[in-house]
Amino acid sequence: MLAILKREMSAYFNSALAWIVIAAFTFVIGLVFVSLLGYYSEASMLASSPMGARGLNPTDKMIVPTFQWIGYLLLFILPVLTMRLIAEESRQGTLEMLFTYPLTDVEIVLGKFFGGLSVVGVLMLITSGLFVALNRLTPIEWSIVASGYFGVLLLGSAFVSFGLWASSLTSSQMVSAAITYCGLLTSWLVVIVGESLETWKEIFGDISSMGHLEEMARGTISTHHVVYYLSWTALFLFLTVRTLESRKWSS
Amino acid sequence: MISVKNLTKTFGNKTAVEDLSFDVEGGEILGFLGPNGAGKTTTMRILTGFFPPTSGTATVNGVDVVEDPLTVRKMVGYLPESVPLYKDMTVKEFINFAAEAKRVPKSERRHAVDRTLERCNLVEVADQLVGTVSRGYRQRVGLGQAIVNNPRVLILDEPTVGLDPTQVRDIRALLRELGKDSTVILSSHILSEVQQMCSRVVIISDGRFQAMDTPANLTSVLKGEVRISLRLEGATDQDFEKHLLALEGVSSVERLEKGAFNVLSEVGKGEGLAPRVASSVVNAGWSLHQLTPVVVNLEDIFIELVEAERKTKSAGDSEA
Repeated sequence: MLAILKREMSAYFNSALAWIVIAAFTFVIGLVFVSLLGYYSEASMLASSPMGARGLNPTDKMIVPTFQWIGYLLLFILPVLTMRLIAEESRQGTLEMLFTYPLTDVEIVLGKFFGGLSVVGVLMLITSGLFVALNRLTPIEWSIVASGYFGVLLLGSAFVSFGLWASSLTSSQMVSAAITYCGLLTSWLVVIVGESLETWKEIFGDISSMGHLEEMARGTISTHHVVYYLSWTALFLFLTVRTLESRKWSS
Repeated sequence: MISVKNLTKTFGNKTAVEDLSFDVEGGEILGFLGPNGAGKTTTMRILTGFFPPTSGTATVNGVDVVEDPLTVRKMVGYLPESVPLYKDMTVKEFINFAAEAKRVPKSERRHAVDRTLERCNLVEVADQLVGTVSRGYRQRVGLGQAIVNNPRVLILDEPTVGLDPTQVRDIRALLRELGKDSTVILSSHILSEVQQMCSRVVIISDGRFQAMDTPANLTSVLKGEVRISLRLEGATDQDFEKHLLALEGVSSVERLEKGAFNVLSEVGKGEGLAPRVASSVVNAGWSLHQLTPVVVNLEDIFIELVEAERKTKSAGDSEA
């Protein structure tokens, strides 16, 4: 598994695509952060009047929206990063070679999964600079930030597992990315469907992939959220293994 | 070393391999001869544990490919026909990846990689990207990933296809070298290649076993030599023998047991021998119990093979 993981990481960080995506991500999240900061400092000025102080804290105005944006951006960039994981190898034929190495299908899938997750790790490292900067301006609670990062990691693994599965379905990277976009957007936007249906609102909100991250960014790590993301991840890793096994009965 | 028994593989209602059986001894170079689509690749994939057979068994060094595919894969090095490689790695990185993925212990890995680069003549391109080396080198990189963990069995799917004559010669020399330490199965649709390289040849067509013999025996048959096994009654064995030898085109008669003979034709005169033998035996007033041309459809197979070869050649020409 380690061999596959190393191979995936070197494939990512030796390719222009990953760096372009990382650069774009850094640029956008920086932009978002600066504009959030602008609103926040304006609000702080107003807050010097006794009326405005209520409800103004860096968690609500800075930390939660930043993590939300990290979530949205992951939704948009991960399909591009995960599309090659298996599709590329099945097009090149290297998958055939891997299947004749002394590796189990599970090892191949996990190696690729953690390879994809390693890019999420790099992105998280980059964004940590934002919170360090924020802490210099106004003291923040690091436990809340840690909880948010835990949420990003869980959301990232759920998204990567879905992208990995989509990548195993086809030898076309484009098709793989398209499937992942559709899947991830749907998982987020079910919350809108819920809005219009009063009785179902809570259930749809619970299914939505982004809502759980938001809660965690507020500092609430409940097993509920963890179980949600982990079972999503486990489901799609399992489906990926099953898809790879299909070679055994179809040509 | 390798034992295949009644191997069948179907995909949906398409049968790729049907009831295939053969054995390979340790240290042998076995050729797998057959036209494209004959089931060579499917058989090889089963032997590498890529997928299990629908029915039948295959064992490598006594280990069943279905029960313990991981152990089998440790013992088998495989080079697929398309020579799949990671183009974004250097040759050395790629061989090292193969060694790690095949669980060569860390302490031995460096040595294994260096030795493989040397054996496959890859030292001079070790630091080049796999995607930038020539076709001949790519083939050797492919062989390198197959042999890096010193497997006892090497399975090579069309190892010389698409190479120019010099490269073909180099690869064949390398394969002979590798064949000294391990058992090799190589597939081909080129008769002369198999003839030069292999100690024995299995011919399959349409997923079925057709023949297994040494290349010398096969070529003699293919040149028009026909063997007919006969079972006769009505006279003494000496009379039978004298009569059969007198027939035109018969080079020798071998007596198997009372009344049973193998008739071998002269080279190039095998055609039409069977009916002539039959009518002469009947005309002499003896009863004919059995007449079996032993490898009668080999000529047909050979024609199929030549046609397949011609097709690939013309496809290769149009590509170039």
